[in-house]
Amino acid sequence: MSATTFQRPIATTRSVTGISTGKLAVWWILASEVVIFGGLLVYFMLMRLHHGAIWMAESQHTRMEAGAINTFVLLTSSLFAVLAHQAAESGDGKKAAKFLWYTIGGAIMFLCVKAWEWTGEISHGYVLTKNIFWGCYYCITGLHGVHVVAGAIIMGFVAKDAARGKDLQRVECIGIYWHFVDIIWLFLFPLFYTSTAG
Amino acid sequence: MSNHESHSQAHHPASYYIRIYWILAVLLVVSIAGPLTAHHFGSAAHTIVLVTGFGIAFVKAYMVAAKFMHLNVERRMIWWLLITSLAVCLVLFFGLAPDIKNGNGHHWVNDKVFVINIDPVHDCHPGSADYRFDDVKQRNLEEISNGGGAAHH
Repeated sequence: MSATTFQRPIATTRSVTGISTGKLAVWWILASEVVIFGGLLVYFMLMRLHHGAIWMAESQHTRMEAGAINTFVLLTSSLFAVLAHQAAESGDGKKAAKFLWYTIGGAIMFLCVKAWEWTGEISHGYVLTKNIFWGCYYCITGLHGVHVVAGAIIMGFVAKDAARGKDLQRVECIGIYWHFVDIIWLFLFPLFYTSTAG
Repeated sequence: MSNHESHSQAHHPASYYIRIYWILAVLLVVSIAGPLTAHHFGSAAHTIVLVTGFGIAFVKAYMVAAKFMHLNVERRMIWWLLITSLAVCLVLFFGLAPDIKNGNGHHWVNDKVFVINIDPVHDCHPGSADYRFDDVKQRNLEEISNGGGAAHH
């Protein structure tokens, strides 16, 4: 076997199941993430159903405008991620990298809005230990924020390689992860921001 | 279907994704406007909040998963992987629900459930001035011993 066979890690490109192993690994990660976020959301919903009065009172203090802006930002960044995938599919690494950087820009904007939102809430006394609602709020949105940070960092590495036309298959993998982060937020938005309106 | 073939099917022009994006943006506006205006609809307000808030969230999530993640052309194996994870969440829900929703069962009493049911705004928070865990617990135990069920005051 020649040395050139091992220029790329086998796991990223080979396909035993009909799906490239790298992409399959991302789906496995997402399946475990479904259980992690699903568990937290199940807990949240049970608490919401049981302690309705607390939820109604406390969720009035979350900022719907911040949640709405962040939803829009994440949807826009998801568009950039899929456009990066499309560019990678057609072999245009530079274009894929450009869209990945736009996606990272979306992640930074999301985190800035989140920081502004949390600062306002904490300064008004709505801290993690105030009660069960704020405990859930900071844990779930905080964990989601950690995923945004992780996704943006990985995307930076992928974009750097993609700009040189290297490992373009990774663009799809990080894109799938990013869309998942977006989907989680699509459910957090009504749960924390709009369910008490009206 | 090979991986390459599934990619080919998923390959759309940029305008296709931009169109999906604008549909998602419109749905976002509806999901904000619905809950904000629901109080004008009287008794239907709660339904409108649920439909425009959570119903549209499901539609948006489906569109992102199907169109952006290309789940609609992905292999069935991935679907089963995700369905299994979601099933675990359902098991968790129905496993935890009795403990959280019920105040007592066969030979067990969940004191905190009763405490929180007494006054959700004050009594559940140990730091509040009105927190009287022992008093409330005693009342709950008396109620149970007198044959009362879950106390919803």
